[in-house]
Amino acid sequence: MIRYVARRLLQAIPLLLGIAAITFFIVHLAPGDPMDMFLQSSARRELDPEVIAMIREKWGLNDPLHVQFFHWLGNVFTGDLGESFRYRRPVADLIWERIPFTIQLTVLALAFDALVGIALGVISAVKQYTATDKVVTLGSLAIYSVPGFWLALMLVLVFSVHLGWFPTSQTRSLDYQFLSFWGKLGDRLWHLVLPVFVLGVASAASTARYVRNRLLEVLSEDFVLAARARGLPERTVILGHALRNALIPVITIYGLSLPFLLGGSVLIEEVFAWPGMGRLAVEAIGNRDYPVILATSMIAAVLVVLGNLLADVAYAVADPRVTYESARGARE
Amino acid sequence: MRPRPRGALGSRSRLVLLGTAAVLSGALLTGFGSSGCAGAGEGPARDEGTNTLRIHVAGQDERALGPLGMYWFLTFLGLTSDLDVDGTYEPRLLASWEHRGDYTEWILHVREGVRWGDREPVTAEDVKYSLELWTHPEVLYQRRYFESLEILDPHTLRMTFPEPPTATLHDYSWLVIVPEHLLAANAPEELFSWPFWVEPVGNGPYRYAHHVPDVMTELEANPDYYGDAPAIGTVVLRYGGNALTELLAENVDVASGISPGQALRMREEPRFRLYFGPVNRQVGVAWNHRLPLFRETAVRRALTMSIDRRELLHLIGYPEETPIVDVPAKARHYASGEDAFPRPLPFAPDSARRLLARAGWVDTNGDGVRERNGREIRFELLATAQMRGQAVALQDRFARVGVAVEIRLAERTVLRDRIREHDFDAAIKQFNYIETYGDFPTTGYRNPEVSRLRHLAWSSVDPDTTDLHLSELWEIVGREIPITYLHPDRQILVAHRRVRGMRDHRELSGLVEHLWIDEEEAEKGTR
Repeated sequence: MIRYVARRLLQAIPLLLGIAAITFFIVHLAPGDPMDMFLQSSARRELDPEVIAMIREKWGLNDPLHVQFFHWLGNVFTGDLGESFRYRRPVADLIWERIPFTIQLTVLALAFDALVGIALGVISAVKQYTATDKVVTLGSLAIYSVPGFWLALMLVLVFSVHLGWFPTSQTRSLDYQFLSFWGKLGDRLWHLVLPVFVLGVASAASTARYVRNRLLEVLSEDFVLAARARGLPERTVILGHALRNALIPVITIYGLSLPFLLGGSVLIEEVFAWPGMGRLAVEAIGNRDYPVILATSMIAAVLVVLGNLLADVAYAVADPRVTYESARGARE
Repeated sequence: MRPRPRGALGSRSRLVLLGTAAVLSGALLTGFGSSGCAGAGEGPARDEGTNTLRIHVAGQDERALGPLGMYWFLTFLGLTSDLDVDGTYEPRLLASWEHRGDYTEWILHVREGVRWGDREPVTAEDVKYSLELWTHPEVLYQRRYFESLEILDPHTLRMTFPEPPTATLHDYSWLVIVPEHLLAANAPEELFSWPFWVEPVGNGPYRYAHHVPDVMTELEANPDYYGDAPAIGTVVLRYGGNALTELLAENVDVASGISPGQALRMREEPRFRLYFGPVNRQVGVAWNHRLPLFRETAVRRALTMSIDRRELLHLIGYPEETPIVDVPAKARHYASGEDAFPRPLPFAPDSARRLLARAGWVDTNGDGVRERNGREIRFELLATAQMRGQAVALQDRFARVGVAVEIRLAERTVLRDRIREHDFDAAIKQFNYIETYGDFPTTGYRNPEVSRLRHLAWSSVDPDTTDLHLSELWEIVGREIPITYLHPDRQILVAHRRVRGMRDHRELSGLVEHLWIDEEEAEKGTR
């Protein structure tokens, strides 16, 4: 497995270089001037044109594009992601501050997706064609169809503004540091409820439908019949035998869904003022903050590569019949 | 091999479960330590009493008290006060100043008795250090207009200029004066990353108390403040979230940067009041004077007269008394009312039609669009999504006088790009009053007399001299209409009724120390 993983990582290098080049040139060739941000300064004043010209010179924006690219690439290999045009701070610092919050949201949303999606899928499959099945199926379809940001806004309106049950935004309460350890944990969970729910529920709906279909397929196989014939309780047949086999492809989907959850978290972070990477990326695009755009794009690209690798490895680990080499083919 | 007991997990399953539990715990506890919370665990739990003002801060974090933020006025004294509605300003960190007749030499007197949060006195050394810091070539924040700064005594310094400056002392009050004894060892090129901006040591009406990263910063009234103690004892800057949501949920008392659409919604809420800040810019239509159509003064005047600018004010929810103007103007002019301006072109569509007809633009084929020499009067109007409402209103008004307009929405930076490259017909944009950044030349408008008067008005720091040249400039601009000004661009603030002392035409950060809380007034609004 180690050799396989190492080979895949080496293969990813030229891929990432290609993505870096394409992203760099597209971003720089898109209309809009990053210096315009200084003409709409949040400090209620506009920078002197001479200062803006000096900033442009300092950041190498007057150099030919290919020179800028190789300069940026060289810095990236030394760990220097550049300085944010907007914040005037190292991009690495900004990302280091924000990425934990995005990971937190994404991982917990994945967990929610897994727990709720699988549970609903199992219930729906076991109660096939009953009212429960219909409710779960239709409900999944409805939730899957609803735009995430709209759901987020509605939940905030109802549960935060009108009912006051959950906070409207942010990661912690104002008096967070005065709370005890358990108080802090509870506060963090309280602030996570709505954003995790919104981010995870659409994926859970999709997972529920997928698990239902897979489980129904597996339940019709001979080994399940054999298990029942041996007198095993139905609960053991379904959860101990059928579900394990039904989940094999589902496990691999989670590896692929990681970058998509990252993208989906952008809007959620905006609605809930979650200080994650998604918000940083969107703000950077609006401000033509090239270093931040490039850094966040590369991180997303790396996540896609790692997600694919994780999916392949997980598939091979989960199903001993599958080798690493054939994992990708089997998955596809 | 011993058979596994029923229900027992295999080693692989145990490993998977442990790994999953570790990942989930790590995710849950991310950022748990909340490093940087000064005062964590010390003192009593925070009591958000009635003497607390909670301000919504959009688009910023705990660095809002820094140079790129909007609220450093709360913790630091500027050299002078914020501009009053009549454009004047008061001494603040500077107690007084004198200058030579030609303005090339200034003597600045730093106020005595002002102390930093660590009780060290504020001196001329701090002012010198700070002005040099902000104009440092590695910092790239402000151009160094001055030639030298010389300390004459602990509270006096001499500032010299190679030629008469165009910037007033108030313009320098944007530069944060910081404690030299605490920051001199820091690298200037890393200025914007300094931790100092998160936990500042200032000398303003408020001082830093503590913060929760990305959530809030709490400030308390500064007991060493040189002036009158603020009536509000605690100010909480609350970061992120939607301003409207935070107001309606009563998580904050004041929010700025409200959009006109949001403002219309808040008008219906009896708990809140709307205020309009100073005019920062003007919104207008830039005509591309490189096109033959817009080189004609008659066409520009006709198009201007066909626009109902009062209707536009109503559309965006601005006060009825907002002046309609045809000239570039400062905030203090707007604050003085319509009498400060020359009479603008009226809303007169009939006159507009006659003007266009006299210029040869006539609808000969009855399709509702005027032509001349076989060419229709038709152009593209660029606008951002935020100005879409104004663009649609203009399109409708122009159509009524026989002018066809196609609206094209563009992102703000794209719009500026196209204007800069002269790749536009007409565009709705914001205009900075100063216009040393070339809004007139950018549109292609050339008038040597206007350029001369503009240079004279802008190059004087004396308001009376400026106004003298402005009045002549306004006469020409009001006649030629190189830009059609639609309405001023003012920041809209929404404040809970309990917040008293709010005023129009003033920046929020300059008002805070003069505000107070009236709970009885709040009760009236909810009944």
